Amino acid sequence: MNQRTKILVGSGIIVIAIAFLFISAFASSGTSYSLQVDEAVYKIVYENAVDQKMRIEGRVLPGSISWNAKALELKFIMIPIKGSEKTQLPVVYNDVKPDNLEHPEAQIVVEGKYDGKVFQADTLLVKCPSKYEKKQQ
Amino acid sequence: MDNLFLANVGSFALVLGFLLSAYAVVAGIIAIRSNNSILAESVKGASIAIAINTTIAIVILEIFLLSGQFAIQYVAHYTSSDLPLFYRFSALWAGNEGSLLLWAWVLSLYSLAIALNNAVPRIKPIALTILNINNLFFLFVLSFISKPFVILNPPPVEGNGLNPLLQNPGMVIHPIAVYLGYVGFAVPYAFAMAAVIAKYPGDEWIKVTRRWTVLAWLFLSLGNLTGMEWAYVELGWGGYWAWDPVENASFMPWLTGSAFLHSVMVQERKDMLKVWNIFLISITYVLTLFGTFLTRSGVLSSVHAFADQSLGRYFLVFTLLALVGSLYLLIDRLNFLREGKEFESIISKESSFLLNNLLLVGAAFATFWGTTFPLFSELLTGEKVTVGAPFFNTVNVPIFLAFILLMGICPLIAWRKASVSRIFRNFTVPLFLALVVIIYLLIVGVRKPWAVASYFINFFVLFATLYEIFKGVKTRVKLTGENFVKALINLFAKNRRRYGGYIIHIGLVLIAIGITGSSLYDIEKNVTLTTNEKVTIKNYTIEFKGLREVRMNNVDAVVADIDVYQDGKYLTRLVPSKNFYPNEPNPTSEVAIKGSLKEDLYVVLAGWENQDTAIFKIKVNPLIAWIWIGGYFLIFGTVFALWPGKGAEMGPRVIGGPSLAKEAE
Repeated sequence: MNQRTKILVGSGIIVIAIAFLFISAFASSGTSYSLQVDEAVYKIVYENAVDQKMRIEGRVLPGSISWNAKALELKFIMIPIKGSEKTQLPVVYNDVKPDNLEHPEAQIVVEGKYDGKVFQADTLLVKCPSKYEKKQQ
Repeated sequence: MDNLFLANVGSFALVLGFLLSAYAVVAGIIAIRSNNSILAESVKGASIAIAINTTIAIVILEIFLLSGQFAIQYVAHYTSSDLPLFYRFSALWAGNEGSLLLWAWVLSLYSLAIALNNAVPRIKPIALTILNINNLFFLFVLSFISKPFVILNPPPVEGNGLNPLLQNPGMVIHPIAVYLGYVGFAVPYAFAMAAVIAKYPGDEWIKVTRRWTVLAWLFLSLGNLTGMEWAYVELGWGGYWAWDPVENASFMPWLTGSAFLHSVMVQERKDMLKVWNIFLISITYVLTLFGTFLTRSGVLSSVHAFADQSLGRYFLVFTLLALVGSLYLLIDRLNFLREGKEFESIISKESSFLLNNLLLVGAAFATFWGTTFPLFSELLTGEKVTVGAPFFNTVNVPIFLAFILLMGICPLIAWRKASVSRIFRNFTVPLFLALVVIIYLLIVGVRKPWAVASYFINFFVLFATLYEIFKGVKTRVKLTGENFVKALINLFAKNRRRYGGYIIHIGLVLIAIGITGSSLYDIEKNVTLTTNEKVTIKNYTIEFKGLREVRMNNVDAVVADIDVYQDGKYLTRLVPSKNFYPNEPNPTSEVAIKGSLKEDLYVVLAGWENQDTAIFKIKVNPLIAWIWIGGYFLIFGTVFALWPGKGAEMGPRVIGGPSLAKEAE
């Protein structure tokens, strides 16, 4: 076996090892559906998507926020960014309430699972359209 | 001069720059094909004119920003009359139009430097033309899509102000550094492409562009580090890296750029890996464009993206053109890029560099895949599927550990063919020292397998690198009779590239140690406290003393007073606050950090119920200071290697007997 073949075989082994790592990471760490609120509600109602990892984008139904500081429990209703307020998803988030949650334009992203009653969010991100780019006048 | 006139001058300068770039591209191509020296000379003139025009535009925009002319839309969007002067100045890169102008300005100055430089006369005109195609694109965008000089009629009385999150010194350096890095890679890319187009053999293009490449890499590293630091001190979630698309956008070219820096050494020394190098620099440059596309288009929902769909489309098209064009040229001319030499041994420096490259490119690919997966899944299945941080960590952590291990072994391996027994002899001391550290860590309770593995590898590499330096000094003392310190200084000064590289390696190891500690052993507590209530986290006791209101120049703040006790002894007072900025509906949290080399105590005032009840997020982040210290090492090492003068050139080519015989065959 000459050096060139050895190098090729060696490189091949490394590439295969990285590929294997890659595939196993993909399988083990899991993926989550990235959905809008109406799509998520559809999945939950019609496809019985309980305990599936989801990442949902939407906004907060005005007036639906209830925040218990002592227990660090935040509850609110999520509605689609565009579309009807009738599509509602109740969310529970056991952490600190973000500053700009009540911002009228705030779009939010939650990650977590629907447990059969409410959507248990592990993360809650608030994106303000006005945060970095002002809306075109 | 009134605003309208100045704004028109600015817009005109950009359009003129666009027309000049168009001329420079066309004239450049004709001049190259017909060897017309008069035309080639005129391209040089055009380059000067383009740089003057972009400079005029950027100066005018700065005049508007500093003098607070809210009649200009950009000024109204990103500044306000109560904004400190420093942040008015830096608002230049707070938004799309301004940051693209900054990009175009830097690119035009780089192009000018290349136009006036007479290196490699045969390929320089082609490289200049490629840079001008880039100028053309950016000036097109600035002239017609993302215009900085839009006038508002009637002018608003007050501007929107700069997002408070961006009012932080780190956020001033970060974008500039990332841009200088991004644009910097255009120069080696242009020369590499020129060499391919002209079928110009040899590695002149590498020699000419090496400084540019290292400089671009330095800025990109600095950009990534300042971005991490900004996220840590400003965003208040207690971390510094979230595998967010925007972070990945500047991390991917850093990975491939690092790979390129190493693989060109193999070409310099051994005339090998030519095709690979062209491929790497092309990919690196395309990734910088792609990164800009990601941050500018909002195509992937990121925490902090500028969203502008139409601009995103133009960027995507340009990025794809660059990618397809580079790959087409490379495949078309594979024949002329024949390798000068073969690998002589599997255990040699060149093969270890190849391995380093495979690992870095593998990490870049995995990151790319994870970042863009939602886009592709939506295209193929109609459902957007995302991968989270766990995916990136699972793939990249093992790759990085292997990469760091290689960093320790590689410097000890000789070019061409190394003796295995000698390598092992050199490892006994560092291996022993690393084991001592691990035993100590096991005693103090570090038990997580990944932590043990990471610390072991990192400390081994740290000691191996230090030992290598120590051996070099000892040899020098023997040969010259200098004392130890003088020998150390001379050794570094006379081989700046090599030892600058070692300093960078030490920096990377320190960063890795910091990341290991802070990501595997951080503790977090969210608590609601009433006045004079205490909470304990690790060996800290935190006593909440109450809230007060403070007025500063353009900020109203609610400040919490906190007394911190460590092991029962009074340590310090921390004052985390929430700041209310005028015309910002939401407050921002100012984190309070009590840092030491061992760990950071990180306290965020998350909210309050009334005068006596406040909510805190409290974290202890071990070893995090080492990330920043490692960053300083990395920057110092790069500057040390770059600094012009003696000792910065490559060492002599070592040509031994056996390899000459091999070449003759």
